[in-house]
Amino acid sequence: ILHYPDKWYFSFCSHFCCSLIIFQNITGHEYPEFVKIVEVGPRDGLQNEKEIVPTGVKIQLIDMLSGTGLSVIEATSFVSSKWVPQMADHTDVLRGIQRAPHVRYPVLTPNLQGFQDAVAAGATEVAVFGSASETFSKKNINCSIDESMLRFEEVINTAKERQIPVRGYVSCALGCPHEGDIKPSTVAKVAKRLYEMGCYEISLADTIGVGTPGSMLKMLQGVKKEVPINALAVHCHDTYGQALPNILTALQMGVCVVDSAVAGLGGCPYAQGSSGNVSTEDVLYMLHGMGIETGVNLPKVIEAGYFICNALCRNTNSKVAQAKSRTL
Amino acid sequence: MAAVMRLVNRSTLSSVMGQHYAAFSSSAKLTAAGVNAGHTLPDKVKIVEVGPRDGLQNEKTIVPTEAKINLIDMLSESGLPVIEATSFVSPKWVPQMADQVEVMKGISRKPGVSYPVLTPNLKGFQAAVKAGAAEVAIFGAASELFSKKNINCSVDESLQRFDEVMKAAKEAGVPVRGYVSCVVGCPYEGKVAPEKVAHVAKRLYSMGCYEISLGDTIGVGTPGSITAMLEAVSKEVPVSALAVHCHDTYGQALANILVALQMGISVIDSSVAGLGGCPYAQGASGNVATEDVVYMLHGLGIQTGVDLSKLMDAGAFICRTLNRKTSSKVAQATCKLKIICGLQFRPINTTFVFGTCETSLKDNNCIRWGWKVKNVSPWLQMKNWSRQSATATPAEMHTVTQPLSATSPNKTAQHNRTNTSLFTVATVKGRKRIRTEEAWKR
Repeated sequence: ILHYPDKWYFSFCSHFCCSLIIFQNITGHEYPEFVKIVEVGPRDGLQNEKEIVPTGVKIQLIDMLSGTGLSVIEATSFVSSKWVPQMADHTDVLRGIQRAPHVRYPVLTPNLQGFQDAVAAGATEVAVFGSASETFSKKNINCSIDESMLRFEEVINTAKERQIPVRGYVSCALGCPHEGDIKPSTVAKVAKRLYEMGCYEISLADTIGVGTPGSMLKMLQGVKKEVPINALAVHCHDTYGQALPNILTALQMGVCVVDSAVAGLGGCPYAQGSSGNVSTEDVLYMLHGMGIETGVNLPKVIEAGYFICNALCRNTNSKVAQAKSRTL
Repeated sequence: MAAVMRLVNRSTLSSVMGQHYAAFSSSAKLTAAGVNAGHTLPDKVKIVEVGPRDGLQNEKTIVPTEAKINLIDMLSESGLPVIEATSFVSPKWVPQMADQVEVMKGISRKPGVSYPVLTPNLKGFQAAVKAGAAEVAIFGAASELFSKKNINCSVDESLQRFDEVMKAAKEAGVPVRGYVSCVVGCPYEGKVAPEKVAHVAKRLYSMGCYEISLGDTIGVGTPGSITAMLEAVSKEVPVSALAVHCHDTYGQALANILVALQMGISVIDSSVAGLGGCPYAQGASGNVATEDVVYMLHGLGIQTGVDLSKLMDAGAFICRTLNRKTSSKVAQATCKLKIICGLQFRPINTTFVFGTCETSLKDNNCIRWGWKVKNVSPWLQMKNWSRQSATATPAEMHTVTQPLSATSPNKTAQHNRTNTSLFTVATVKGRKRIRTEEAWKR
């Protein structure tokens, strides 16, 4: 049984009936005082990079990110290396990283086999991926949404027995490359399913980055009817440059967990050559500029970004990192 | 207690049983946040296209007059209501704008579209009116140091210079738009006080400018600082007379524009293809891309009157001319999304060579690159796809096994990639294009 380090906070807090999420007012809009950043670069980012990154480099990247103040770093993915060769070294990565205290390292586990491998390798938190689009689900993981939920149920039930927290993702929350627009009610349904199965947090992903503040607002309005807002996160892609305004809208709606990838790693497989994940540096710049705390040290994240971009022989996608490196 | 709460916030949602925390959240505040997020936005937004002036001014390559005229004409066709055409400054300082008179006389003015020009002083104003300008713009700075370094005089002195322009413009019945630069931050002074911006904006407005565009010159603004600045300025100048001119140097432009809209601003400055870098962060981006702004506005259900497709065509045209990639993410993404569909059926080992693509805009091709077979001149527009090379390559043709970097167009890299996204663009003999594969259509 894995002893969860934060349990004492849980019992301590249960004695106080006060707001967990403290909001601050910036002229007419309420924003959370604190936003948790979930760093997905080492997994979601690298997974979409063409260059296979050596294990040592992945470990070093994660170690650098561990020293920046980030509290959640998605380390790797226990999928079959046939499908995702980039993540073939999942066990070595998980065993090789130096786990910083107060930092969590969730890993992706698409099925029970993956979950068991993850636990054997030392995983203390896992994540499962659902889709709001049937077509995307079929093309991506070769089964319908309902079938995938059954698979995840196995994982979540097993995880519950071992007291391993599970995070849920809903992809294509704002649009699908095959189906086009996705109804907020569909996203809400999938999110609710994952939440009721036992995921502590649901990350709503704009997989192809087509969302705008308008569609983000509608989607969140739909989802928060079914899932409490403080259990929601947004995972915005910057393919159309809309990520930051979408994140801003989510913050205005009360969301206080944001997924991002250092250096904006990871392209978009549906718009080749385009950008994918929003850059952690750019998100931090915006949040800190608004006086929202994150606990993350931006210069250190920029450094980690430069490191991985050098290793990948590519330019950073982060505008903040680009500007900082060139400022007169 | 607050410290404990902060610690709790950071780790509370980590437990598998964290769902219980939902019971502790403050639902009243959450509701308020939800309401605020659905803030009333304007139904219509006027886009002021500054690409031909502010954009090109910051591009190193001197663009031929014909290309500038063509760009402006294409932008006129896209539905933009205001297109800043050129600048009547001394060509000594801004060589890119040396052909100001030819540009003004050469463009086809679409009815209902205005073509303001920059006039830094009376002489410039007079030259502008003579060349046919029907609207002008003047620039003030909110930072003293920036004003001194940029135009060699203090803010007050610069406003006095503009007095002359304002008088002449009033007499001639020519509307004047005012710009305030460094409204959030200055490359020399750092943070700029919102009151200072309000002071300069008020001066320009009371002098007679019909609209004041507030420019985040170095792109350092974030929704917090932009809101504070707009709050201060809107106390002195009516919101309906304000515009925002956001730079995307730190990627904050669209977020800043969103909060500006939420505060009632309904005029946005932007530059097609995100033309124009930032002279204070070399290599970094400058103006926000019009395509990205329009995409966001249309997604919000806000009318702009702009045809995004035609706008992207104009952006693609000017990027070809400048031999640079577009800075617009919408333009980058839209192109490739469509192309993926065409690539699925391409054979894996195919020879591909390129000739100069000249007519791609007409048939909406997304690929606009190639090079002259003999001279290996720079790529017209780089696409970052990898390919496998083919077998025999006919003479006079260049086979590419890896995309050439835009900075070293004369080198041909010889890497082999396993990625098999391939396509045939054109088979060329000499410089004449004899066949084009149209694998991608909008």
